[in-house]
Amino acid sequence: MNGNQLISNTGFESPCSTKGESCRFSPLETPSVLCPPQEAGFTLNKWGFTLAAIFFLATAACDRAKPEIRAESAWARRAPMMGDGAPPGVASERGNGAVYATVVNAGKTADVLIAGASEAADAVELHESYEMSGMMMMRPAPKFEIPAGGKLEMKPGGYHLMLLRLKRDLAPGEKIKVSLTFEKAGQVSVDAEVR
Amino acid sequence: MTFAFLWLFAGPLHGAEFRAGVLQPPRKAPDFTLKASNGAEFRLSRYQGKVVLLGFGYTYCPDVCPTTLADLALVRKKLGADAERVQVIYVTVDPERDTVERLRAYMNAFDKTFLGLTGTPEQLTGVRKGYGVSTRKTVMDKKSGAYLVHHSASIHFIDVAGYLRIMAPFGTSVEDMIHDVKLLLQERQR
Repeated sequence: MNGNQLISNTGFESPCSTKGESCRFSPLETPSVLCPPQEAGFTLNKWGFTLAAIFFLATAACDRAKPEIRAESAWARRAPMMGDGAPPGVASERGNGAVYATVVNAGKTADVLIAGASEAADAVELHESYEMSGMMMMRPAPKFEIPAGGKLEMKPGGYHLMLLRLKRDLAPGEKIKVSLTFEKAGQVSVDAEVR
Repeated sequence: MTFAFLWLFAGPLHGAEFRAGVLQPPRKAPDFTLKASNGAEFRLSRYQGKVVLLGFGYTYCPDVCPTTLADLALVRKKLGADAERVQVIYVTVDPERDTVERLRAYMNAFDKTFLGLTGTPEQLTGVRKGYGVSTRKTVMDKKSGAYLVHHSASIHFIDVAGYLRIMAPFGTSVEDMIHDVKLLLQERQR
């Protein structure tokens, strides 16, 4: 009825185990090519196992190439837009703001935050505040690195995203959309609540 | 004997210590007159009887200055009725860009009672000198001329008698500032 029996009937050395249920082929075909070797049932499981292993390794490799990046507890400091309708001159520029978030890297390789953007401001820059000779200083940072399995905590007086030239007032309770661009993970969007 | 000794140091003398940086001995806070964001003229010596919290900064500052002002707003909020005897003043380090209108909009975003102060560059230099505040202007973009003003970011606590008592560095917790303001409010006017 099944292939095994048919094969047996042809007088060839049985290429398949009688235990194998899925070993189906026509006796007219060359069994040595099409039929898996002895004990097909076990062998197929082994094949399945191997495939699963390949799949697993492939996924793991994917994980390595695409770290899991997420931004947590994002918030923006309240700030008035100002500058709107002011007479032309040095004082007419709109105000600035700041966004803070904790970037968690659950992936297996480091990633780098390279840029930011927000609907609430003309531009977003990566900045760092620090203390030097009794003064609070601020400087733009080209990038923030987030180590594998680690995190980068932005906070007042430290790393932050500076919102340049606000498009509206940032009033407590509102939310603004901010997107962060990472070298590997690409864009990550986050809502920042104004406090 | 040892315990009595320890008690002397830990007990009555040091029981109600300030938490932020204490200025010892206290010195009279240098008086000054500047233009305030409410449109009036501000003279520090007229504020005796109140605890004055004095800071320096500017409205284009995105991180440090708004953090300080938000903390001070929280200090006043948590003080409840005592807040009436606390005046926050914020002296600009960027008179070129910080107009009275700008200062008003900025202060109002944090606390309607805050006063932003400005004046001529000479007046402001004088005030900074009196309080040991340094600034450094850094041009960020030569094309647009956009600049930052780095500055000392401590809060100066002036007591009800007009004496400079405490300097709270940037990052002093709101709780510690409230604690110290309360101690100053308990003192009798000299």
